[in-house]
Amino acid sequence: MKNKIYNIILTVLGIAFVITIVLIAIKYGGNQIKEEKLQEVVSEVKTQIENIKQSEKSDTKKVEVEYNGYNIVGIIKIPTINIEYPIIDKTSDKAMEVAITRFWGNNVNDIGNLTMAGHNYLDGTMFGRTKKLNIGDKIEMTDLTGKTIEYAIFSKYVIDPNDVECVKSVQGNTREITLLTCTNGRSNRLVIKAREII
Amino acid sequence: MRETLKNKILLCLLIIVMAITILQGFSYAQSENLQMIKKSKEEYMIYISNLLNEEFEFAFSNNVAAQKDTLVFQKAALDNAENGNYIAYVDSNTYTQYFKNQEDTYLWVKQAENYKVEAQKVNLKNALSENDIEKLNLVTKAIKVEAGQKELPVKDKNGVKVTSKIGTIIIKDDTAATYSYKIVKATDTNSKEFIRIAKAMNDLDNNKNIFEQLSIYEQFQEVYSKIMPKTTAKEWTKVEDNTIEQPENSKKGDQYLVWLKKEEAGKEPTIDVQIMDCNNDYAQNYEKQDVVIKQTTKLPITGDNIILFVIAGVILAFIIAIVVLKIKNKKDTK
Repeated sequence: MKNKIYNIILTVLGIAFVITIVLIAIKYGGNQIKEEKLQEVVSEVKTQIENIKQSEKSDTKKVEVEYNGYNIVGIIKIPTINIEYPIIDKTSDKAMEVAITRFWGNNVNDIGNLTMAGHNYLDGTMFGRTKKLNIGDKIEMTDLTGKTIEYAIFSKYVIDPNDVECVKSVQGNTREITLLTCTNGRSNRLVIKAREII
Repeated sequence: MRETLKNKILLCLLIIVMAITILQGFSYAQSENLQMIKKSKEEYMIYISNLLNEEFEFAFSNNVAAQKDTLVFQKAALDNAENGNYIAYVDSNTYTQYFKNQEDTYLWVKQAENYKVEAQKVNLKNALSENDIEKLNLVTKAIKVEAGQKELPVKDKNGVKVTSKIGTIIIKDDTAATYSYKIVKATDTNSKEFIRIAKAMNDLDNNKNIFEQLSIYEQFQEVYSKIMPKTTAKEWTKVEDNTIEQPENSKKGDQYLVWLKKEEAGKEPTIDVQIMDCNNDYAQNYEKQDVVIKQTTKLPITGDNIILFVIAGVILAFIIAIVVLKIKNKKDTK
């Protein structure tokens, strides 16, 4: 009799386990599909930039791309960890599920500090591999006029989620960017700061 | 009695002075009707306003009060074989008879018996030679330049990023000569007049007749000679990198005369001038950094949601536990 009960429990647990595994597979498989779509968005932004550069009014026109209802403000590329993503103009839980988001600051490549947030996905997508970055690594930022500026990482540290000092510029009158992602689960934030290479 | 005589003399003097002043004014006004070109030392072409396209007769005399019936009239000539303008032509004979070693010479012009000009003083010294006209045409073109813009280093003023573009004049002359410049703000009457006439000269086209053109050249030469700096003046500054920058205190709308001096070994210095129109203030662009007025108290949550891994782990633990219990139960049953 006891054995029969164990069999029933094992069957239920087995089904639950399989469902959980399927859900995990769907989640990370979905991430890969999302990656492909984001690469298409990046390509579209680049194509529009090229078209504008070839048009007569190239100095006044800007690229206008929307993705999932969010405005794209630029592209971030980090060759060291082989990622390239569009940047969404605002940060929210839903927006962060879509792409990298602008958390704080002006437009891409403006003077001042631009802080961007991205999920630290276990499969390494978004900012999942930023922990592998080191001081001196390069980050390329492309704005909607097509101007690409190269930044070099000068600082990397972990902070408490309530510490918002990282959104400020370290050095005035320069172009800086800050990458934010979770670390130690969700209890801390990994901050990576980079400055325009002049 | 003496007092009355004195008053009469003073009154006469006053009348004479006034008459001279009025006559001088009249004479000056009349001279505006004539424009002259010097063809050679003893050959001149005199253009008479409003009679460029009409035949006329003209005569000279050294006596301002000469009787008209004593004047020897000549027919007007054409300055050019094709589509020429009518002129009072002074050939070497006329020059010798009426101008050479004479104090004053006067001109009469008539069409039939209708006098258009009467006893107008002619001063051939005012005539422009073709060489003069060529030189005047070269002003602003003698030293090749190009207008440009230059971006200044970014400045930070109280958190405001200031980018500046300034106007420049870049010397594009090919030679290995040395250049210096003198920049003068065009605030005085002569400089403003010079700019006005220089622009009128640039606009000279076929729509303006020869009289109008000569009139502009004459005005230009007069004002140009007044404002041209001396070549030996110490205030000339050496041009660096072939570039002359808009003055630092200049504002939009300011105009400057940029005098250029080109010096080559064994040659007379060449002087030229450019007009610098300041279309913008020296520092005109203020690109404001957004002032941070919103506040943030917490950074976003960017960690992966591991709940599924936790559930999977818990289920797995339960499965293992149940399997262990089942095996133990099996052993107990045996």
